[in-house]
Amino acid sequence: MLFKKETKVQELIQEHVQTVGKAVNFWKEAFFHYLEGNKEDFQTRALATIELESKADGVRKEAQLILYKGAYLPIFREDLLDLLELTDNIADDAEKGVDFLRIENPVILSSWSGEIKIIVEKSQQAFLFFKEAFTMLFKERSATLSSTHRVQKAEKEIDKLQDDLMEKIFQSPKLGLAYKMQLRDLILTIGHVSDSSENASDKVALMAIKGRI
Amino acid sequence: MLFLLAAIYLGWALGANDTANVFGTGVASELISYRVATLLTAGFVILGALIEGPKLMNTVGQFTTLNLSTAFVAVLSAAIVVMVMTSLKLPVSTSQAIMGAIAGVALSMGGWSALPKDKLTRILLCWVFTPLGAMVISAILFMILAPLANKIRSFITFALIMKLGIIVVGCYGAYTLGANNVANVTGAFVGAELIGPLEGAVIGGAAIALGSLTYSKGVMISVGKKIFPLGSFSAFIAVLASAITLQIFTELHVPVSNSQAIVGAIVGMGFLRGTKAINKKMLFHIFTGWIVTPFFATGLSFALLIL
Repeated sequence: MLFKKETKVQELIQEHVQTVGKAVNFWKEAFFHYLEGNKEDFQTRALATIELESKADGVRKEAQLILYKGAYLPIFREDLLDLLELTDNIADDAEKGVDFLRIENPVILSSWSGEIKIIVEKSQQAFLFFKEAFTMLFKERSATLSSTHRVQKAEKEIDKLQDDLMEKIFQSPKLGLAYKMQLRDLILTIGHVSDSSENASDKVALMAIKGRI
Repeated sequence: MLFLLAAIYLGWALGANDTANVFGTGVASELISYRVATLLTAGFVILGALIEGPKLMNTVGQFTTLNLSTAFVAVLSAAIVVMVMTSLKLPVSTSQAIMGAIAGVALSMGGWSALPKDKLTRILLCWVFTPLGAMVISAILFMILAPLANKIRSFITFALIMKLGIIVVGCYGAYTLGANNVANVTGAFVGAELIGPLEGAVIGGAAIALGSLTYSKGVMISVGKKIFPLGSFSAFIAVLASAITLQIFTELHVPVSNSQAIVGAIVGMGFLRGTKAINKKMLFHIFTGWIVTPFFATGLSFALLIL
């Protein structure tokens, strides 16, 4: 078959994004359960996130191997390799998020949990916009940019929410500095998911623009 | 038949140098392996030589009256010119080398008046119009195909079409190369009635194929690396435009330079894309083909016959 390698890579790239998407979904659920105090549910979601991150790694490596063996013209190959790497970073960040909760087990006051949930939810939304842009790249290149703009917009909102929350935390007179710093790290860790989604989405935008003659 | 060794060498050199233009892009970009590229080139060169090559034999063989020894001197001179220019790393066109050498034969036999001016003018005009024609064709192809390519909705579909396109135009390029250039190799001996047009096409096509199969790797990769940075779509258009140009001149029964056609095609797209596609090297390339090669070959064959 003429396009055997390309077809396989395409399947693997799609599978990779789906797997990363599932990891991000479990990441969100893990955070929600943690914030609501459901330790057992948190553990199962956290482990599922870690497992899916590992699965995504395997799929990425398989796709990379076929790409290195010469699937697609190099000009497209390099873009696809970069995109795989950037998408994989999202799953890595989701794993780091749940690891943070598992290892450090931070105490989160109920007064902060509502805002943290919003940041988590919006971060997942940023990923979903990226996923939409990714899908458009393979279906309707011209519609890709509107989705990538949504990712940028969501990321900006998340930055603002993070800054506002961290400001509140650091202005709180009752909390110790170490605790404040731990919460800051947690909030920044959550934001990494949307940061990485934006990076991957920027690559998608470039690929869509580059494909135009 | 020993005389044919000069023709086989010329065909081999042509295959080693010129087949790079058709599959260089595919090989340099690791789209297809060098081995597959040379096999496809060899197959399509022979096909083009057999189907359309005999049409051009008269242009080369009957440019002037040739006998076995003058045909041999002409082919040998062209082969020496190709060998010297290649060893000096200068661009060379076998079409211009062989026609220049045959013009030298005519000059040695009857001076300036022995040159068939009408045939010569026609050939010179075709040489001038090779890069110019390729330039116009590539610009037209670009204007027609670029909007269509932009309509391809999926990134992946676009990437796959480009992959297939580069292989298909490579095969077509090899076909037109065989069709247009085989007469350079054996046309003189067909004119001298040593062999018939079909035999000439078989021997010439096989010699070009041999050059591609045995000695084209270095040129193929270096030419491919020059063309491919233009982008896959532009590389596709460049090879297609040069193949169409060669096809047109095949129908006009005039052998022309594939390398000059591809340079013209790249320049044509450069105009449309607003990039600086003309540089001194390219102009030197065309100038060398038009002036140095035929004059060198004319002088050499003339000198060999006078001596």
